[in-house]
Amino acid sequence: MSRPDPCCSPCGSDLVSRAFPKNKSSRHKVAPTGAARRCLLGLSLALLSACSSPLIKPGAQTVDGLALRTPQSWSDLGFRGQRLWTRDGASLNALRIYTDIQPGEHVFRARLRGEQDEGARFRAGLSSIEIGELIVEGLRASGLSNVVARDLRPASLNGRSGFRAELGFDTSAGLHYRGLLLAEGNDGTLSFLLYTAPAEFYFERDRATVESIFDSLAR
Amino acid sequence: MTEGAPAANDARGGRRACGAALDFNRRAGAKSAPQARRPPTAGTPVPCPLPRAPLLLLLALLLTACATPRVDPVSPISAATDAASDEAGLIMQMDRYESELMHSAALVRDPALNRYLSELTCKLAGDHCPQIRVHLVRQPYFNAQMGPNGMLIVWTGLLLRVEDEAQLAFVLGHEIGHYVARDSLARWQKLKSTSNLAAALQLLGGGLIGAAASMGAYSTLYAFGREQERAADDYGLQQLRRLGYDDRRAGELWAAVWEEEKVRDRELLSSIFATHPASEERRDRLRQAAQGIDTGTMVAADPYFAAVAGQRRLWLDDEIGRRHYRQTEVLLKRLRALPRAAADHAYYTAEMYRRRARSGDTELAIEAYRAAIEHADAVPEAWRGLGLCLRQLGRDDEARDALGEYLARAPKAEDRAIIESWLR
Repeated sequence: MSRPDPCCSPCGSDLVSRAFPKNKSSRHKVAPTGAARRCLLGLSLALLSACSSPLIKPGAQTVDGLALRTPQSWSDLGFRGQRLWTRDGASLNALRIYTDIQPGEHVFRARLRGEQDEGARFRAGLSSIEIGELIVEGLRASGLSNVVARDLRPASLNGRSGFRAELGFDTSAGLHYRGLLLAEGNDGTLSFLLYTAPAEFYFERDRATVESIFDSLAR
Repeated sequence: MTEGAPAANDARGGRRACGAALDFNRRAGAKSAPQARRPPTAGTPVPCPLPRAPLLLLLALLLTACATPRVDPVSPISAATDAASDEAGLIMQMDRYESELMHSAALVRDPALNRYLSELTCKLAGDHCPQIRVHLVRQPYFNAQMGPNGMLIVWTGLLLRVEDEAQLAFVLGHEIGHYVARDSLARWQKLKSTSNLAAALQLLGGGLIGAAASMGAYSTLYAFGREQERAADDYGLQQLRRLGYDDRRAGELWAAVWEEEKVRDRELLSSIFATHPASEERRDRLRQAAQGIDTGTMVAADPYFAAVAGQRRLWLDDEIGRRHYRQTEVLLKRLRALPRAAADHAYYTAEMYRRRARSGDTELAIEAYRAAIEHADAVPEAWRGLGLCLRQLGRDDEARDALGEYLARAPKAEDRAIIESWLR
């Protein structure tokens, strides 16, 4: 995943540098004026607020074109087209929502090194089984072990026919995870929701919540 | 998430940082480096040419820095290591590394296969046997590494490429050769004495043995020099001959691996050779070494295949899953010529073509699936793959037959519900 974290963009840095000149060796240090101080304070608050992860409240939500309903709140650590919802941190529970992955793009939008790179690229016309294989290969390529997809079954996502599956994998440290997947690639682009959590406690704790979100997309 | 494994070339910190001057020269000459193409802009300082004598002196100093420190070979009955020595610290870190590996999900825990590997290693190691422990790690790359603490790691991608016990014995003997010569200690001392200390520390802070992502840091310790590799090859050949194996098999393994290396895309980070670069020179040297010497004739392909049979499909699956199809195509072409596992090799050839899906690949996949299902031991998934390909081509009636056969042969198939929905 190579996209920059939108939280940490250097927005407003120019204004900050103007308010506080960097030349510390200057004999005549310029104290910020009252207006500049207020401006700086306001700007800092704005920046802090921009850097906090948005809270997804329970109820109906439209996420990058997907109309869904969540029974509980989440923090969104992702960005448009590549959401990462979590309650306790991404390693404990993560609901990833990928939308509109184009043909030729990596299934997890990982960086590909040119045309020759045979990474897990999405292609139009893939069947549900083949999309499942692609997602499994994308997970394997990220260093996970023993990645398996189980119980693939037809399902719909935002009115398009797709599939659901359960996943299992181990991290390099030996921790076993389970996952739930809802995906469709019927309109020539790929969209999917992937929930992952440690098999012990966290997966089962939020399973019903995630399934209800999946159910809400089955229209 | 990273795609595939970091390249060994990329990760061989030692080679890269043997001298900053060499590094600078390589960068300046590299056509792919944008800065190499960019003309100096106004205000860019242009370096002055160095006078020849100081330049020679500088080169001599750098070459000195690149020299591998000499260490004595390890004794079969090793004495307690001095706690203050370099080696003690390195061994302590490697022991910690090994204990982490014991919890890794990538560790292959097949008792019979592990016993087979340990027994073969023990025979090759002779008096060093008690000091060496073999661990098989599920990684689809050609690699084996020997730690200074006696930890011998073999990756499953290597076992997939080996055709018989003689070839495996050579690889294990080669690694034992590195251990006996204490090459990793010499490498460690070199890393610490040059500007690569950061790489060395990164290595020790690493862990995550099974993860492809850690390959870069880990392989830094095992980027041995050409002379060390040659000496380890010689040691491996000696052990091969001592046990009565056919030493020509070593050169044949290297020739096969070199064929794969030749089709590797240099722009991509992934290589099947994590720390042991294949080369024509090495292949030729091994082939030459096997000529004119009265050697054994034992190849032992049957016991080898019996030992790996339970795991081999998983490794073939991993090989397809790493999505470096040009190398996989070369590998599978070789494996299909072997007089064993014909159904599996045909099936995975078909899987490779189906997943690659370039122009003409679907037809090649269908041909290979059909070759697979002619064998009595074909996996049910061969019919599934055939059905998927036929469906892609719009040959729906044939696809239905193949998919129906798949479900009949795999009643508990995980994708049954989807296929049944297609068949309805």
